[in-house]
Amino acid sequence: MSETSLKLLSILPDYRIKAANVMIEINIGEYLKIADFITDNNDYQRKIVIKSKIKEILREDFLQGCSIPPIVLAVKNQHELLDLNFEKFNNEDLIRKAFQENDLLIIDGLQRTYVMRSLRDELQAKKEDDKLVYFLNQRIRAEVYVGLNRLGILYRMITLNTGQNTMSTRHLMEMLYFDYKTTGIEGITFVTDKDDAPVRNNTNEFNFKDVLDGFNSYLEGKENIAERTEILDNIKTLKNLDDLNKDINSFQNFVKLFKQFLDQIIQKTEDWHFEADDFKMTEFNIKAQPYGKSTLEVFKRSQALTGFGAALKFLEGRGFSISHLTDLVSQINVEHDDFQYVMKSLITHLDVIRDKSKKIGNDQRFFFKEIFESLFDKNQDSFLLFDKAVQKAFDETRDYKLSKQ
Amino acid sequence: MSLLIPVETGSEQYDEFRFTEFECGDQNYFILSNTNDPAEKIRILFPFGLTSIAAPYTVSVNLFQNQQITQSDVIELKLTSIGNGKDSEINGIVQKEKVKAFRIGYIFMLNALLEPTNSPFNEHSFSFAYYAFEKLMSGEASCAAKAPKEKKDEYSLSEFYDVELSCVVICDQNTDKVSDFNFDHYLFDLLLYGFTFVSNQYQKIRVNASDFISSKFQTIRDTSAVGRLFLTLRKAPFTHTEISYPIILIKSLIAEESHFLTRFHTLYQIFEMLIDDILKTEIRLQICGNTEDLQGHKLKAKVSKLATDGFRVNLLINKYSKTSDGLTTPLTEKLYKMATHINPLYRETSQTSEETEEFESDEENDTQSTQLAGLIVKLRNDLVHNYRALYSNEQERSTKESLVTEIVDDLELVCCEILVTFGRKSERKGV
Repeated sequence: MSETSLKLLSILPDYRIKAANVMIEINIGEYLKIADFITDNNDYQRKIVIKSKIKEILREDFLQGCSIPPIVLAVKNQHELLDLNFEKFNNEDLIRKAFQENDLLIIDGLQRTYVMRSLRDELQAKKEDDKLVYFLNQRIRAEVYVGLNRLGILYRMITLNTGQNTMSTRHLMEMLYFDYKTTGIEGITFVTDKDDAPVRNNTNEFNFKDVLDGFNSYLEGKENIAERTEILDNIKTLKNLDDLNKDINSFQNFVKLFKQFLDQIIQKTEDWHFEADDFKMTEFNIKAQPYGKSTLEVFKRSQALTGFGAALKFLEGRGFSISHLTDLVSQINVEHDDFQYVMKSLITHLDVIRDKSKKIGNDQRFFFKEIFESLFDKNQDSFLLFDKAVQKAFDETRDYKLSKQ
Repeated sequence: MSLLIPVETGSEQYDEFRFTEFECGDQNYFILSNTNDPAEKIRILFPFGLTSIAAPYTVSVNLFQNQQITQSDVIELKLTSIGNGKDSEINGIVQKEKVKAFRIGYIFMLNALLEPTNSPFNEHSFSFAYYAFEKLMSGEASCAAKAPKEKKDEYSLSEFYDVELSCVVICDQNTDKVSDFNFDHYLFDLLLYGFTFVSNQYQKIRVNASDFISSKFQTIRDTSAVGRLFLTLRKAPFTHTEISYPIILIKSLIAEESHFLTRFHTLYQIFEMLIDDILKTEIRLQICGNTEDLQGHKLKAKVSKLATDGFRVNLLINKYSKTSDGLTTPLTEKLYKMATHINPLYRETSQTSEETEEFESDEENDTQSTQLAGLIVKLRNDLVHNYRALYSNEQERSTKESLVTEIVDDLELVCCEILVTFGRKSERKGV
């Protein structure tokens, strides 16, 4: 390995989040090279703008050699850390390798990092070499978490950010699962808004944001997605994260179960597709473009995913687990109507919702949540009966949500 | 104008942030800068992709509460151009001046600005949506934006405005074509469709529960034959001298939650105001210039008649304005019911001369309107002089109070219709 200014100071086990906390010292210059890479290549560590006054104060502090509180980092690469014994961790090489390969996340200290970068750039531009050398050679400390699983990272970010400018739930969620963007889950891949390609029409590729929305609904037990900017100040959510920490595969299981449902419903509806002639009948008269033109399109959207997530939470409260539902999905049936007829009814119901609702998105999500609850709750007479579940869901939506016209 | 953001979460101190630029990217944002520290910025998500925005235009944005409108409604707002008012003759046939309606803006729910997947906008209305958003983010709507409680770097429209409100967006370049355009004069017609003006988002807005509103709003839905909704607004002409009170009424008092007694009296002020105007007009028309022809006792009789409020309220409803049967018929029934509640022996024929007056026999009487006028005056007198009669029977108290509340809701709309159709006798084009 090339020469590094990194010096390991101590290693402590963190029993709360089950990770090793490694205190290091490093030159500002070497830290900034890594930080440049992390912030420039990580979509989820968004640029922030800090108050000029604070920036000025920090800048002066750095120029005068003031020591700052430790930056908090986490080693990103989870694959090598699966068998980590956090109580006995003592692998200095792993730390050095993480720094060499820029395999790190900044959990706390983004503001200080940006001020340091800005000062470095300023001194370079002004060619104030003496000051630049002095600055870059200053030592700072960093705490590096090793073996921190995704939920642990999220927990640390929430608790460390308390009282400061807070991040949204969604932002934190995206940071937690960004790895799946590249690795996927057992053949399931994700597409983000940044990827300049549409999501393909199959059950193997999903919009990453929509899936996160769905999983977020599962965590919260609410089909209405929190505003993207809503901050995480909810102790209950931290508790949810705590519970999820006991099952680190919950996100994967959620996605796999939803794909399984999609595959089944497409098969049972014989891959139903919209035909305009079918909707010229009074029974299926729609006023606008159909909500979706196929079973896949209808159920692959955010509204269905969030409804599914919220329903799962509800069903867990009734004693069902994801593994129970895995067995049930293949048993979905109909009582009277055929599956294609039910899809046409569903499209018609969604058209009414669009026409009558004051909050269309919310009411669509409620509708889908009701479908899944009615479908998988064995205490209801619509249990595993797709036609009854859809009708029941529409009746509930109409009665509780739609304005009277 | 600016938006207020707390200096830190939970603080009672606020910084002002002003709209500085629009940032296009994977997502689009309105960027606002701290007026004290321009380097500090916040972003507000504009959820739509930008296709094409018609430019350059400026708009004004007014916010309303309406129970009838839904998120998918985008209503094209129109005014009627009267033209030069002259009929023309073509081939010996008199052609009536064609009245054209031209668009000045749109009405839609603020919620429609948050969900591009359920967007109700087309290429024309989308520009209005964008400009409305810009206006809202500049804090330049008809009511102040709310101040969020959290300090963060990204916000949503819903943290500043109640997204169940409706937004009336009017293009200044279109209204510039209308001489002496004042949007306040159209608020009365808007209320008939259920649009209650919002001047303060923190205030609970009282909703008029009259059935007339839903049937009136249905007339907007009935315009949807070509896939678009239209509303052509009528202007309150304000030929009378007291113009400030109706504006205060429509922009502030009507939205307040207040006791039905207070509401009745605030509304009855419109009658008081207009019958004063009628008095002056009638004196001018009937008496001035005729004094030489009229004998003393007849002159005295005319003046005495004009002096009675009931007579002039009758003139107001019958001759000086036009009201809808769909509104006045149920109102008359409710007023009659109320009159019998207060006095079980009340009969129509026992109305005093104060309350119903015969007027000039050369004009056709509208029996129902005459009855309505008499009953309105009767209710006014009862509420002033005999209010205690509402509470003579404790068991009937809630029934009577509910009835008065319903009457006041209908009367609010009658006032609006009167204001919109009010015209001096000599200026009326037929009854």
